[in-house]
Amino acid sequence: MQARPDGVISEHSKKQTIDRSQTRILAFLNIVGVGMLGRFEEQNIDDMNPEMAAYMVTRLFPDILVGIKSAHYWGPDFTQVDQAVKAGTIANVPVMVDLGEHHPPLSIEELFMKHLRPGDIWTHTYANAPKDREVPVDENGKVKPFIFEAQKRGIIFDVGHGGGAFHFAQAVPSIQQGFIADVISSDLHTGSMNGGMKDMTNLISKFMAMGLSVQDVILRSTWNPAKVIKRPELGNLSVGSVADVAVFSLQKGDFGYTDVRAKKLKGTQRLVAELTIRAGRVVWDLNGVASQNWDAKP
Amino acid sequence: MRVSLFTGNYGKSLIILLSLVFSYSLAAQEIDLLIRNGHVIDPRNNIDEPMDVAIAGGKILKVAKGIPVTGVKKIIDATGFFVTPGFIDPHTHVFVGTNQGFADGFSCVSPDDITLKAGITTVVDAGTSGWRNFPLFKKNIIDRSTTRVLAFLNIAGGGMTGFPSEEDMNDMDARMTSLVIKQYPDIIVGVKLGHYRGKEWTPLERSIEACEIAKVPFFLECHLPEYPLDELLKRMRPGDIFSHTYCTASDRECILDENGKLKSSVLEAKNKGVLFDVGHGGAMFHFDIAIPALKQGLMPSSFGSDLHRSSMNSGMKNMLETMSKFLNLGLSLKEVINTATWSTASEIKRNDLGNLAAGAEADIAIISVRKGTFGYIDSKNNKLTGDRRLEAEMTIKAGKVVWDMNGLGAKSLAVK
Repeated sequence: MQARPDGVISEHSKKQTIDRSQTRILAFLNIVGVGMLGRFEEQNIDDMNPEMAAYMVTRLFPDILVGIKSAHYWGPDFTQVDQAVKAGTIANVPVMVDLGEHHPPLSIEELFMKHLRPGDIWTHTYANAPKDREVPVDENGKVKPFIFEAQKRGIIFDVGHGGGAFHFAQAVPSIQQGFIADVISSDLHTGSMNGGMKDMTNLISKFMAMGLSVQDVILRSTWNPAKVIKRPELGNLSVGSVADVAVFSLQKGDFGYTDVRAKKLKGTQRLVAELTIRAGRVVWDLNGVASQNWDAKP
Repeated sequence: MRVSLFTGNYGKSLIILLSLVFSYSLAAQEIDLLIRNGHVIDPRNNIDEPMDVAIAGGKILKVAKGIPVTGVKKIIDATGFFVTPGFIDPHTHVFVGTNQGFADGFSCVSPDDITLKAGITTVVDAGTSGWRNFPLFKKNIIDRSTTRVLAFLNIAGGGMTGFPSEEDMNDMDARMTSLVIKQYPDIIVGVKLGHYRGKEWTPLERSIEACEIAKVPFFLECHLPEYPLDELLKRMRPGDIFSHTYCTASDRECILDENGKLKSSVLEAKNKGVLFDVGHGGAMFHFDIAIPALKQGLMPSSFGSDLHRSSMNSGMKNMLETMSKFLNLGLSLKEVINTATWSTASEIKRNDLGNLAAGAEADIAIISVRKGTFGYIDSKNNKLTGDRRLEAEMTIKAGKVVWDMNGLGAKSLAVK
């Protein structure tokens, strides 16, 4: 899912990237009309138009747009979130919030209980920058009680690892105390692809190193995200679904997983993507399981 | 009366004092990064043994045994790994953009997405741009990439714009091409020709002419169906590079004859100094050509990947995978490292790259050799089973860690 870099003006991006990729690309539409053009543009309340954003979702690209995104806002209140929720309500789609940086930080309890609806998503769950954004784990290492209430209420917690938004200091105690993100996601971009995140396979392996089972990480990277974006035809292998399949091997050895502060967690195993099938076609084959030997007799 | 500061007893003391200060500051030059206990393979400098590598100010300070750790800012323990110069991929298509196709197009790939996780610190774009759009390529990609991006310039002024625009002889200007090469001497390393379906030799002649004026090598690509192989090789000069070496293709005569023997024109070219690049791609590397060719002594001088959007997910994957293929085809690890570093650097006449001499830019790959059972796939979807695969543990570019697979450079352990 692409937390959409451009908002209302998106026909061009669709042609240049979405239509040409083998990967299925869906998108959250940014509530800001120009999308993630720059931090200043993202503060522009006059460019947050819930009706226009909702039209894009319901009338123009219903098969591609799966929600509304609110991100990077600095203002003293929840204005951007509220505009996004307005759009999400008109279009009947979830809202994903990257709560940005507010000084002083806004209350995430208020965000979860008063502004977001069940099914809405809070991302960068395990980031640790409390001066900019309130964190789930307090200074004593305890997960705040309202976090569990919020999850019960139906607020979706997304990892959104990125280049700056995943710290073992938040993730490890959270998982130990039963606060586990509903969706594991990468926040893939140039700032994350060569850092601690690397790719989804490494990321779900990192969660296994923190104690989750392979079933747990597969759930949170397939069926859970499919449900969250209301695309129940995806993320499962029911008869009749599109044949999007991943085959992994589990490597045993001495591995290290890092967070965005270059802290390392050791692990004894790592998943390896052996084969990827998209709509029934092999699109990645690491060791030639779908090949014949070069010197095989015809 | 002129008085020298350095005469007399006072002067002698001053000399001694200044020498002491100078040599102290040399000896005390702070090491930013020290890679210890790795097995260094630096073919240019004949190193193939355990050594420490010290980096300061983004450059190699020295490679020696037992470098002291006092005052070192950061230590990487490379026990169990090989430490080599960063790899150089001389055949890539990285002028990515929004057009259909290659030039400023979606068929290209952003280099940092693929290279750094594979130990590759330098790529050469294979003529995706021509003299007209090279400045755009530089602004959009070269100047923004962590990977060092060098370039062959296409003799076609607009670069790889597709058929038929790429075949317009009116836009194959040797003089303009050579002028732009001279404008960017640190980036452009040669002239490339490919994708011409006519019988005329003019495009090749213009390419060679541009190379003669700018004094750079010529890089031969593919899709030149009317150019007979022997004539092509005859026209290539010592130091020119023949890519897509190990394949059969409808628009390229094979280097092997019907009996699997290397054609005499290929041997003659090799002997006169033509260099042979792999140019794997999505379609241009076949085991049934490579294996007999290697047996007959046609070794690659570079492991060009022909990285683009269709090759990156095919059997090619990336240049490190190509290197692993050749390791399993009978080359020694040292030969593979030499081909991927010093040999390629020499091919593009960049002797500053592909080695760990003191003063060189600190571009380093730390790799492991994983043992097991692995399948290697060629462009016919044929598989070779091998017992080793190279993996990139860490990549360092200009002294900065840009890829760290398992946290070798981690600051500390997370509390569990």
